[in-house]
Amino acid sequence: MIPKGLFSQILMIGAAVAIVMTYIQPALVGVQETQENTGLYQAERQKISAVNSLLTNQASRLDAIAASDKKRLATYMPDDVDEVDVPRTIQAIAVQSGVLFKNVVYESLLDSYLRNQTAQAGTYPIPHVFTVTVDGTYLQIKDMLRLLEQNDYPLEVHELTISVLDGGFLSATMRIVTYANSLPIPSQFVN
Amino acid sequence: MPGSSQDTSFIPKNNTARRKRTTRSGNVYVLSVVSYIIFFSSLAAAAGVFFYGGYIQSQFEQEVLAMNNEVSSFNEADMQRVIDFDSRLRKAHERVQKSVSVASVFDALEAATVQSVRFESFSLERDSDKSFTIEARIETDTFDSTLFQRGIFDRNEVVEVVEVDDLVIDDVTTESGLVFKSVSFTANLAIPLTAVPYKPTGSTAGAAPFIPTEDIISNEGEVTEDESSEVSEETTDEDTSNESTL
Repeated sequence: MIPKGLFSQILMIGAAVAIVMTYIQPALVGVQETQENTGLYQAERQKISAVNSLLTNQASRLDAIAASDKKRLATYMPDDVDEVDVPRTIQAIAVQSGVLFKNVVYESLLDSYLRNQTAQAGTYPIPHVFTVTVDGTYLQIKDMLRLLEQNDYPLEVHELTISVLDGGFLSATMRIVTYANSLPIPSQFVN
Repeated sequence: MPGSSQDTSFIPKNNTARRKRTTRSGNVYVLSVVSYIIFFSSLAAAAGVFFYGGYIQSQFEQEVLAMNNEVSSFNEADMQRVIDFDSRLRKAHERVQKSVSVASVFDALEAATVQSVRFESFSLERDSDKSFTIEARIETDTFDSTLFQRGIFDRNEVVEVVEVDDLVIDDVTTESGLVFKSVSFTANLAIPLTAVPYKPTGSTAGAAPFIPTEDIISNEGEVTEDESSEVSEETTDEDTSNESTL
């Protein structure tokens, strides 16, 4: 028969093992998981903090830009192309250069852009095409091209056809491309 | 009487020769101490783990709270503002980098055109921000002039590709009845955009027409046509001396 003292000693050792197995070991696993999660949260918090800091810095830099410069940028790359203002500008340039302004027509978005529209979405400015016809001398047409280059927003000549008229005058047809920051609403450019 | 009185007495007597106990009381004591140590150590460890777990948990909760604070301090409106501006700036920069001077193309062609050559037609096309392709129908008087013109185009630093085809020789009668030979050909030229960049200069910057946008409507509410067509008086005089090639 097992003595009473030995029995209590075995019981205490058994209880100790039970405490270790049922509480301490799972609790340590839980503590380890919590520590890992704390580390993860700490790392993520540092990332968020870095982003916030960068954002604050960039917003401050943005606020520090002169209003006139922001306005020039918005003029150079407007949200949308004004289909009245652009022809008006082209007409004024034509008058300035001395050519006989015949007409200007808004066509649509540039063909090459429409072909690759999905790939270019959001990355590239939106090209709008205007077709302009003028008559004049060589020097007048050249002067008009020079004035188009100096406009405060892009008026790029992508196509130019010149033919000779009677009396030494020339007829020039240009496809002029200007740009917008974003796409117009669909009804505006669907042919 | 036989035997001693001690053996015959009915009263039990203590045996003076006591049996020596052979218990291992020392071993039991060590096991007892070890078992006590193990038991109380496990209890102490459990308590320690309990409190350490609580401490770690509170640290975790503080970290979650700090992260939530960081997340809530993120300004979405500022982010959108910065992204919009950055996008617009990048697009503008992309176009500025690719801005070229078509007038400079004509300058280059003027420099590379011989006196005896006459352009009958001219078409220019911009090819995907890479180059200008030019197709020109050119008339001259002899094959020698044609060869000379092709050689000048070939040697020109701005013109990159020169192809001459559709060569035709014809008799041309003037108004006075004179007949002479005319050689005409189609010249296909390519000019890379990098060869004709737009360079704003002090004399030309700002020469584009100024169009008022705010003062068009007069006080009476009528559009004043004079103002809408108002242009600045600045013009570029640098090209007035160039000879027309068309």
